[in-house]
Amino acid sequence: MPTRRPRGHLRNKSTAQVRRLLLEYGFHLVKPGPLERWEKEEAGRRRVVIVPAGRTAIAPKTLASILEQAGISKDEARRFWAE
Amino acid sequence: MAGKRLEFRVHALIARDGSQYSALCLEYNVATCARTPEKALTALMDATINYLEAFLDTGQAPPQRPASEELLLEFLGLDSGREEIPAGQVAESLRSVIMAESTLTAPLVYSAKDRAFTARGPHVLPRAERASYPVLVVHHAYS
Repeated sequence: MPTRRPRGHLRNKSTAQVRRLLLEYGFHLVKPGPLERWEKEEAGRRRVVIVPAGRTAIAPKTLASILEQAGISKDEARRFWAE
Repeated sequence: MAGKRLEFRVHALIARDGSQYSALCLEYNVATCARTPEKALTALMDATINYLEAFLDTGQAPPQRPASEELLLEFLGLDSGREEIPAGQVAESLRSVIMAESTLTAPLVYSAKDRAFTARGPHVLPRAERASYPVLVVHHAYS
């Protein structure tokens, strides 16, 4: 599931921005705390995403993993990276 | 049956990421970031426990979801768009990351209703036990 960020479009993303994206994709917050657990049911399986809370800038490599955990498509990931 | 537990051996890759360090769990594709490699690794263990608990708390076995090849290349700072990556570049990338191994455990609890032992929430091994799984610093030449 490719979520690689396009070169030249580096933007720091905050926890709040990631939260908005996850809500848009149908995830709900199951466990708040310093490491939030977001979940959604998808084709009979549970998809779990762990997000560091309260960050103004989530490091790009961590963000790439979060997008992959969430199953976000390459095009959507690119759009998000470029926002 | 007291003391019986499930064990999860996990491996982490820690790489410099701008002004922070990102840590990735290879088996479960969970990642965190922090200002120092040590803090990133500690946060990663907490994040991996959080992931495992999502399944163990409901009596399910946590499914492995290995980090993708593309994500690994991202962590190693290698361009996944290239058909061939020179061996020297791969070696250089491997020298610039930290690899770590740790063991997480989940105590097994007997459920009279199900007449079976189930795992309830993993935890990190006590410090003394954890010492047998040291962090393996492959190279630590950060500028």
